[in-house]
Amino acid sequence: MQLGADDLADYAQGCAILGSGGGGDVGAAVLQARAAIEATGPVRVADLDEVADRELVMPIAGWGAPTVGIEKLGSGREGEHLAAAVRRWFDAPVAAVMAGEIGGGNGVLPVAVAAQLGLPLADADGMGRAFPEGQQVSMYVAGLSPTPAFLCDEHGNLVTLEPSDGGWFERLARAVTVSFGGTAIGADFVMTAHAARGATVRGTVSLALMLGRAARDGGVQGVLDAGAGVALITGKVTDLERRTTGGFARGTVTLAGTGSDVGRTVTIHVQNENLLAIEGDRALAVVPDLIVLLDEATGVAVPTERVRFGQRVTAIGLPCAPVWRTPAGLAVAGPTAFGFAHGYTPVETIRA
Amino acid sequence: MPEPLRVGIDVGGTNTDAVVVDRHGVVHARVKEPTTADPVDSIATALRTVAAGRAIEQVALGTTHAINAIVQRDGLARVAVVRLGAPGTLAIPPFAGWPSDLVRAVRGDVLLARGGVEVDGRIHPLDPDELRRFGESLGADIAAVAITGTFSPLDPEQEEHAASIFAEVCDLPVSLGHTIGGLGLLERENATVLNAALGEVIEHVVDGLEAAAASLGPHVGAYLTQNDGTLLSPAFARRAPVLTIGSGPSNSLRGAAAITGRTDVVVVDIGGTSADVGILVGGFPRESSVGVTVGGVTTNFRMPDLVSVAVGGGTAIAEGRLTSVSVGRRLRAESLVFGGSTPTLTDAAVAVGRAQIGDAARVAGRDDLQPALAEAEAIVADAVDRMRLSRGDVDLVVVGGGGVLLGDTLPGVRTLDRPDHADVANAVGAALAPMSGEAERIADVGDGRRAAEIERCLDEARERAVAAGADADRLATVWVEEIPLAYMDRPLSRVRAKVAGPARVAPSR
Repeated sequence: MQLGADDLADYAQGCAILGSGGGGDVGAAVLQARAAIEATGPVRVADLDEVADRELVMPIAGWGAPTVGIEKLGSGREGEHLAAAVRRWFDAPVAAVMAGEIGGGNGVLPVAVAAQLGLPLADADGMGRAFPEGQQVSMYVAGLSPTPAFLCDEHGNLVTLEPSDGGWFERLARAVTVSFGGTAIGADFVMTAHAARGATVRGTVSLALMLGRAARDGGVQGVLDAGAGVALITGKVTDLERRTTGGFARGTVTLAGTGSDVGRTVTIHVQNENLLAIEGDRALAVVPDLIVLLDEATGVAVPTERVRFGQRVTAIGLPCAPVWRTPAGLAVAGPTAFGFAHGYTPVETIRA
Repeated sequence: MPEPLRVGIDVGGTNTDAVVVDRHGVVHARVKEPTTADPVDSIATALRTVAAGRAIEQVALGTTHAINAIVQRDGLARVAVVRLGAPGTLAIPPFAGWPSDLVRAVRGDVLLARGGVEVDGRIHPLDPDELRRFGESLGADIAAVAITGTFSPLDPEQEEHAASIFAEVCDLPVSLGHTIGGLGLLERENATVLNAALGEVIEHVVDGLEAAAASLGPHVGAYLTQNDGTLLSPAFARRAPVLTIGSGPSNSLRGAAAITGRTDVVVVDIGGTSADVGILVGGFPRESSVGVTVGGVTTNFRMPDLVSVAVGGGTAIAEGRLTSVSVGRRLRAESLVFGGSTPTLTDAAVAVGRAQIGDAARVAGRDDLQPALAEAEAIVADAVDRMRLSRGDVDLVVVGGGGVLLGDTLPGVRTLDRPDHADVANAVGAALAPMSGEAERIADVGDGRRAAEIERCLDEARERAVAAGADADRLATVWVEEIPLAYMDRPLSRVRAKVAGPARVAPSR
């Protein structure tokens, strides 16, 4: 499979859906990926089985504050610097680029990096969605070490980190990002293809492309069919509450049912991403399953910051990657990790 | 001596409206002139007619010249584009995402120059020789230069330095990013390039406006209205013509406020082809939270947050249902009440007795048109619903020539007001537009400095409003915004403020 310039809009829409309301804007990443593909050609998407056991997979993610990122665009050479650092450390070349987080703009950025490096993009990522914190990745759940991790900026500065655990990694990466001036591009959990096969969420690049195409061709129903999703409610936004605390956008979105859902009310709790959908005292969908608001008419994902009163949306639940349903996965990214008292029940087993 | 009056002029595609109002929004005179091929002629005629025998202190013009030039790719200058930020920002070149026909019309030489500023204030130095060589190399086809540096809204000095270098080596008008847009490099650069491309388009209109105003007397102020519904001086409009592109909806909304005396209300402006719903908060249109797309180009202009639906007086009806087609300016030829053969919403409104336009006998007994009218009302009610700020019913002001389409009640609407002169609300809004100033800073808000930093930002905004001509004693805060920044070593916030107030009264002679 290949990702060409003409696939980017669908792919980015799929990444926005997997962002589950968060994951950051895809717009600038699409422009960057388009520029890179126009310069070097389409990106080959490779299943991890196609990469030899001992070859290296380099996960890529952007760090930093969106308010800074809208000014401080990259040089387009960050991937080159990171790949060179990986090569120096491991004495082996990078064989494939991977998204650390498929949801939102971080799902699109690795396409640009893969194009610039002339490398395949692994059909996998570390989340299968978007999450707010660095340790909420499948590689961490699988017990892999983030060491070594590399961070670089657009001026060619590069820092190698050897944190002793995930907590230190978050803390040190944050300090480096601050000194770069608020943004960084990082490669962490660099691993062999053999390790990656058991430690990542597989097939998510294909999934994003499929979801984006399904939204374009089939709207909400297309997304439900393609993602094995569950419609939670179709309705309009009747109440919105937003606040920013501790660096996170928190709040609630209340939907009043329309059409066959008249009389129902569903409230969605948000912390960067949509985390919990509740009707009365009953949970309809719970993190780590994905809760996505889709424009009722077009099937386009509505990110948290663009939800507005009166908007007609369908809230859907998509099953998360199996790793998040294990005890170890739920400990890292289940409802209790976000401070909710609700237990976790897979979304497809709850009857709306 | 009678109270000095103000003129507002709205140049539309079909008509040029001019009104004379006093400072309280009372309309003293109004005129409608057909818009001429050179709109400067209808501006002069409308002004002469409406102002005759009155003491006028100020004339303000709302014009769609600049936006039309961009949308139609007409009369635009070729622009050399300079970005200060390399080796950063190279990942996304200028003109990324632009429609290809607009790129062909506007793109000249491009330089990604060394330089730029960081959010924490650090400066990456320019290479003056690099800029000088680029300036000297520009061909005769280049008519303007657009310069945009990273974080220039926070520290404009480097853009100004670059402009001074260009002034030494080439004689071209230069647009600087920090004078055009806020944070968001690509969006600011896009707007700056469009601004540079519009240089000659606006020149002719501004000249015509100044001449028309001067013909009324030596102390008559001339202004244009800008995106946020406030005034631009002619000198400023020549430097920043792109700021006039969104003035139409702002003028309508503010005109509705002035006519009704209401400051917090939902407004629907119904024309021939569409209905625009906006909301006034504290007397100003609520601005959209996302950047506006202009002629296919993403900008970071804050314009009125509108929901536009395809419901207008000229909207055609087929088999009892609304269509997405409007007869638009041909209403007086094609609609049934004017002897044509296309049923429109205007015909439906006449048939049920809501409007007295044309020959009502031609639609007598046409009950089959009524469902389309109900459909149109439902669509407008839905758009009004989407503009709400909170739960509960809203108050609605209806302006524009198509206001007669609506009945006296709508679902979700508590009161529905159709003020006098609602059809010239746009010109009234221009006449009463205030002056404004905006400022934006990245501030350290730790150790209880938040209030002081916000006040400092407000002071900067006030200084700019006064420099633009506002009365320093009558300024009011329009909005203050604070967004905390993550990944900083100090508690930094992006603080923005906007103030507005009436223009200073001209000194007595």
